[in-house]
Amino acid sequence: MSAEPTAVAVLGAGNGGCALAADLVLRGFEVRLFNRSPGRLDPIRAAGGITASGVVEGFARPSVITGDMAEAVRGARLVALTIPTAALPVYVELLADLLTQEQTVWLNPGHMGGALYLAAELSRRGRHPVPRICESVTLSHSSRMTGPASVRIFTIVSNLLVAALPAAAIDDCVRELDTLIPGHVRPAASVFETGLLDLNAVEHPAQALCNAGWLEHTKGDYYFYYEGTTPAVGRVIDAVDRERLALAQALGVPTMSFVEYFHQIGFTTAEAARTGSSYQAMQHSEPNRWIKGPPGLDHRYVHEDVGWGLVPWIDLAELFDIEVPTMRALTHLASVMNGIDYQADGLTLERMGLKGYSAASVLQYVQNT
Amino acid sequence: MSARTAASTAAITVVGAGPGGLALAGAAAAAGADVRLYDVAPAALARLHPAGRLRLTGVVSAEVAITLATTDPASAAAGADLAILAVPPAQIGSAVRAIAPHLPAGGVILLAQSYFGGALVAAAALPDAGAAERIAVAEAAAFPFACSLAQDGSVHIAARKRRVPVASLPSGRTAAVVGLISSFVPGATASPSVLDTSLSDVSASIHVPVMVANAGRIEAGSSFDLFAEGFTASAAAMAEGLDAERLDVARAVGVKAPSVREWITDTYGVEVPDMRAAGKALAQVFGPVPAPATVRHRYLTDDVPCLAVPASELAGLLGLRAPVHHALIEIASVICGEDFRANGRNAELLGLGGLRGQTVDQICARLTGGST
Repeated sequence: MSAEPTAVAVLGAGNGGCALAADLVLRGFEVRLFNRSPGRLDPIRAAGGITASGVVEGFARPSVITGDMAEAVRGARLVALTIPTAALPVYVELLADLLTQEQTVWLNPGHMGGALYLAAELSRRGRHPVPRICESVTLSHSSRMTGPASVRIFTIVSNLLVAALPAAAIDDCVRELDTLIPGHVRPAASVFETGLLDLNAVEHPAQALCNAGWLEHTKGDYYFYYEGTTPAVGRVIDAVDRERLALAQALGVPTMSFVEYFHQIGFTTAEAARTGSSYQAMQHSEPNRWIKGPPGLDHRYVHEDVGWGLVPWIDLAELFDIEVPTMRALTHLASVMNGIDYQADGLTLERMGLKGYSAASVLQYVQNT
Repeated sequence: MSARTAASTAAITVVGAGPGGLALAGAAAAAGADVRLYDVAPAALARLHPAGRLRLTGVVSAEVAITLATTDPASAAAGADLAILAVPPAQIGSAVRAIAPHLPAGGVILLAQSYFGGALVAAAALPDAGAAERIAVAEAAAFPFACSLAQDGSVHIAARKRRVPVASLPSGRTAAVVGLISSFVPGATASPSVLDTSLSDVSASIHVPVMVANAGRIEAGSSFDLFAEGFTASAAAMAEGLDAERLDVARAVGVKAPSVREWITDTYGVEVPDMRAAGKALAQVFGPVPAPATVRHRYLTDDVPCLAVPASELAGLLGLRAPVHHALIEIASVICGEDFRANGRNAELLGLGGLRGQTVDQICARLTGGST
């Protein structure tokens, strides 16, 4: 921990936000907790804080529990966003006039292109220079709310991959996050490394679309990963993954196969990972084994993982001359099924602030902005 | 062809003793035709009762005699006015090569289930059979019956299609073919050309989306009714998109093709207010249709390469976008582990390879055996 107490704003009081807020309070930081809807905040305010259990135990009292973003963000040294992708546009709208050059923004997690989108939106609003932005590849704290004001923290992810935008700022970002959760952070080459590891976008579109009839007819009443990932569905996931690996190579960022990564984060066995087959990986995934499906396709597995996962990959692939026929086909079928033009409404090159750039200047941009 | 044109006295060779071939043979025999049944596989012919008796149930209820059931193409084809092929699309070439040399001059080969461009595929096999000048080919837009084989070897005809467009390649023999089959295919209707029959086949719109939308469920072995339960909102949305693209192609080449909904109404007399209702309508017509046991079922392995692929290739030649076709061909290929565009009836296979940039008339002439 740094010598001077540092105020941290945690925006979004869901599972991840409450876990992060509680952990940081218990480590001695001043934490301001914000949420848009009062429903989440009222019980925490009534209790005076959050009761944490699991790998962190104790009662954590944030200095501010507020529905007013300005109250949380002003004067905070670091602003952490623990929100779903779909909420990002609304948060950006609220944040744009509050952020200052001295602050660091941490998208926890960044999904694909979160930092690029935030930077582009700030820049579009005339915010120059843009504050330093970093993003982690997944949520730092794996947790579940066990009550309206209590959270169980299963683990604080070790070797949490974090990228900075610009990548040149990575040392500062890692140093800063390391004061918060010492020893947990590992630097990524660029936001393309973290963005290309968005596993949800590799698996969910195939799992949802090739089972659309099953989801709709039973309202999701089957084991979404275990039963829904058959050999054929696994082949579609593997095809998406091969295209993603080719894109990562073109972008010059290190990556690993879906099944390898799935094993590394503890979701499948080493033996299943060695087969290189998503079908085998799902057959031997204990954490996912009993998870059922969503009631239909009007769900983040399609909206987020196609619109904010496959779409930015497809746009980058086009710029870097990589063929991604499976990603394109899934995106088109998702658009037909849901009546939403994901290719137009999703996270396009333009929304990432990369429109009109050459491949070379995109790589330059993420390095130095 | 001989002077005999009335079906009741015609000699008809049915090629393929699967459920469809048996239903055709039985229905033709019930209408009084002299029917010979040919199959390469003795086991298929063994389904016939001794002495060539065949029992039909459903909309055609009869016990009939097949004149000859044989693995010998020469005796099956000798003197036949018409050979009807009821074989999977992949076997059209070999069936033509087997049967055409033995048909009398002027004979016609009709593809009962042609898919897109079946007559072109059959015609391409005629020179190999030394029959290019002697034999004509024709195709039907849809198999005339919805039928299945019962445990006891009888054939159940659940429904007879009210309208079965037929065309010959080139078109001069269409009326004669319709005349030969109308007694047992009462819905047979003369169509202007094989482009009309090819573009009027709605099977891909009905089968491919529901198979893709239920690929996981099929493989997981969950028991469900393919049309009553599997044809959900998403399957219907894809079917609507696929069908609209087929109709765009038809319009561009001046063919008046029915939409899936119009086709179901024309064929089975069931009203279909919207695509969502198509699954229920089909379930009503067919009765229970258990989902197939595998994704490698003809609904994908035939409908994608032989309908979706040629329609999308023709769309490409005409400068039309067909994104739903492209997407479904791509995903179906990955699902089945087979490159359907490369293995299917692509532009090359249909003889359209050199026609990029040509006029619509030139493209149509190539597909219909006409001249520009």
